[in-house]
Amino acid sequence: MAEEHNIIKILLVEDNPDDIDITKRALKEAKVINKLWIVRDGQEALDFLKHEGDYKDLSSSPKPGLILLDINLPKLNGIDVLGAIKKDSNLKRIPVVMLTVSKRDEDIIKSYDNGCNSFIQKPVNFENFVEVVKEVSLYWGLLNIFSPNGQEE
Amino acid sequence: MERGDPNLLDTYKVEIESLKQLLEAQEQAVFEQAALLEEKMNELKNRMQDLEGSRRAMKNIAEDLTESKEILEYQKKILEDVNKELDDFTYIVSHDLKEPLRSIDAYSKFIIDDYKDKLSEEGRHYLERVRANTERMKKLIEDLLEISRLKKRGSTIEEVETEELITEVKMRLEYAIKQKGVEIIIKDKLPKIFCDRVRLTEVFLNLISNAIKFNDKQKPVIEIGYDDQGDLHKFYIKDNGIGIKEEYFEKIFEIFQRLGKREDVEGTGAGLTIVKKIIQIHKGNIWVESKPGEGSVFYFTIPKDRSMILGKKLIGEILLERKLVTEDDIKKALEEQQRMGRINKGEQDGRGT
Repeated sequence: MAEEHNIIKILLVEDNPDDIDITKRALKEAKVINKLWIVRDGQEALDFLKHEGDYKDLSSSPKPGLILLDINLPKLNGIDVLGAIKKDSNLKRIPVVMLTVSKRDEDIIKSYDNGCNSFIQKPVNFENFVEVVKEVSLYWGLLNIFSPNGQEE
Repeated sequence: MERGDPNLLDTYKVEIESLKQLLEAQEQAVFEQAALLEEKMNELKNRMQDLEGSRRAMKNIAEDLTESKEILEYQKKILEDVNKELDDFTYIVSHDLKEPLRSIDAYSKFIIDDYKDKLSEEGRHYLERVRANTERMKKLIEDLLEISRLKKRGSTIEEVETEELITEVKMRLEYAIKQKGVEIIIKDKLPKIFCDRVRLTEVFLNLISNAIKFNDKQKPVIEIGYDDQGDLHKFYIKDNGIGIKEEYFEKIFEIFQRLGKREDVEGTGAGLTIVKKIIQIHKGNIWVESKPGEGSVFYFTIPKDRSMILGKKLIGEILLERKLVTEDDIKKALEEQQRMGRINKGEQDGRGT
């Protein structure tokens, strides 16, 4: 039913299995048509995006249209991943939404300084989280107009 | 012959006698003067000894003061460190507590939705209670966070019309005010004050919403008043609500203290703790007076001086401004301090060789 360009390709960078469950379910309940890839730490995220390590096969790691990035991650934390993405000329135009339970001033400032497109606190209440996921995906996936070569693969 | 004139001889004799007396008198005077001089000298010596004594006493006091100042500064530093550690701890703990809470809430919801048919009415109710409690715990954690954040974040002190803050608060509480038919009276002309606008709005919001919340009267009346106290602004918020027993006058400002039963009143009981912290950040004070059944009056003060709120002004500057001391006094005190510093140093050097 949905056309190919209406499917939002999302890369979720999240180490907590509960959060993965919850985000998947929230996407489902928000009725967002999506393709979801999940990576479990900061290094894996960069491997995925740069087609390195386990992700040398391009078909296993397509360029996402939206990155949902947690901050507290093993190996490389979310802010470092964000910095690396925004410094990479091939990746810097992919919208990155920091999705975290933290609302530390320090995290917020560092995220914006490193070029995040949005900073959102994960609500505790599940229904509220569904709302957040819905709005974020629709805004970044459908409503927002990207830089012309930003979405090209 | 004239030479043998006995009269002339007598005249000389008299003259010599009077000269002798004069001489004696002068001698006596010199003698007295010398005695006086010696007395004065002694007096001077005593005064010099006194002065030396005072100087030593001053030196001792100065040394004591320096020492107390050092101790105080050290204690202040320890306190600040402990406070910071506590704030950081609260901050980290609250974040770590929130994560499992999200999971509890989400999985409860999944069970409610996915096992709708299998759940009895009771089972569903239990799960709803789990969710209600995660919501409550979330609020508690958020209040903890808010309190720890208050100190971490700096303040923006600007000049604000108090009246504007009240208008903002009335707007935010519009629903409760209409629903309970609350009358809000602004008793005095409210001044322009230096404060952190957002936070002071929070203070009025908390106090006024409490005044509405803890009110069982048919016609709740809230009075907002002001008193100019020289260096301080003093505000009060008076209600005709349920009042507070004297034994709770201090306790209500402690975190998570609620005097009512949990079911009776919404909220976590952190509001007044936040209010007190905000007032403290402004270098002011807050307290309550109340009679159970008749109502409560919350008073708070805030310094008028911007630099005093920011804690940037030294006591000397304030004394100078209020003309309690002159520039000269300060200059002299500083010179004396330096001189004493030199003397101390000299004495120590002397002892060393």
